[in-house]
Amino acid sequence: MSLPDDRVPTLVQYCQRVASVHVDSISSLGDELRYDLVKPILERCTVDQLMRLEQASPYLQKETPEIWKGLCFRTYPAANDRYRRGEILEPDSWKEQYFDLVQEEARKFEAVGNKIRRQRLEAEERKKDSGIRVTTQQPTGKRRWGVSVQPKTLFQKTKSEASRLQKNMYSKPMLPPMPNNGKNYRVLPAANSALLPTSTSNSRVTVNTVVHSVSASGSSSSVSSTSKGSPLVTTSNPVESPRKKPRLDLPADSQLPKPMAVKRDPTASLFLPKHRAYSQRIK
Amino acid sequence: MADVDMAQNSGTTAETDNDWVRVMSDDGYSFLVRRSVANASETMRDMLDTAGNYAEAIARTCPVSQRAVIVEKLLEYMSFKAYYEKAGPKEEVPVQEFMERIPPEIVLELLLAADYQNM
Repeated sequence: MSLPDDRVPTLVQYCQRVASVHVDSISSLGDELRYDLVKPILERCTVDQLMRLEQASPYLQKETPEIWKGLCFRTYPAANDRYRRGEILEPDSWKEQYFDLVQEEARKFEAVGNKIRRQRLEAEERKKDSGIRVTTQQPTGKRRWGVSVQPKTLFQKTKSEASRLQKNMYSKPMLPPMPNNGKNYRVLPAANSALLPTSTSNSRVTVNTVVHSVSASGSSSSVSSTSKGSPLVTTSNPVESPRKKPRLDLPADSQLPKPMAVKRDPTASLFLPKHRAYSQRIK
Repeated sequence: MADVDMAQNSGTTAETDNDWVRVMSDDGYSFLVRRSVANASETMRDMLDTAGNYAEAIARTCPVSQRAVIVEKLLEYMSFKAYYEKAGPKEEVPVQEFMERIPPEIVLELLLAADYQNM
């Protein structure tokens, strides 16, 4: 009597606990048990268990809506918020409401799955498009300035070929492009050649510019006046080769008249190598 | 009348240790328990209360319309409860242990009976 009653649970409570644990083994709650006796058991059921027990004891269905309501909100808290805010009205059957929510969820899930699948397929398509494809089509010529080239018929081809030959045969032959793009090529010796020998010295190469003047008159032995006897090109590094070719022969021949010496035919140097032959390079 | 006096005598004295009552199941089984145990169930206590002048009180027999299996388990619980309600505050009640003593096969019947017995 002095002890509180809550030390020992009631037998009813014990039975409810045991029944909840073994609810899968329960095929039916019968028809004698009052709803409030079995309520704690039903509240701990899963959806499937609840469905089964309701069907076995139909008299319970009158009172189970509150359990279905609880299930709705536990499983779909978002719907709970909407209900609280008054967006969803009280449904006639909370059980139906629950299954509606289940379907809605399934639909949303499927929609998301489809979207992801579609995006993946599209990405794959795009990858395939940019990949290499086997085709029997002829490649079209490269378009310049956005103008596409139409394939020529045989007649057109013959015609254009013939006109081209005709043009070329009777016109001045086209000169090949100048070597070195026309730069660094002096036809005449530089006007201020006397001032020229500026030796640019860097760590490896010492380059002394050698100037050979080729004068039109050539009567006097003006060899020594503007030219040095021998080329003074010294390098310390075998890799670097002098750019200016020494022309030893010219001073000797300066006495002979050179009528055409002023203007050199650009094509004459067409086949002159830019650098020394490999075997001639200073080791 | 003498029987009644005798019954009343045994009810008012502190000799509850010797005060045994009979609990009967509907399939013919009888269980003898101390009155203190029987009092764990309010229904039984009222039935056996001599002040109420019930026939059961006079006969000191309490019929329970349940199978013997159920009655036995009911009485087991009543013993458990009667013992630990009187136990000192330091003594721990083995709550879980009793739960294991309830077989699932009878749990729903037991639930019904327990509710009827108000325990």
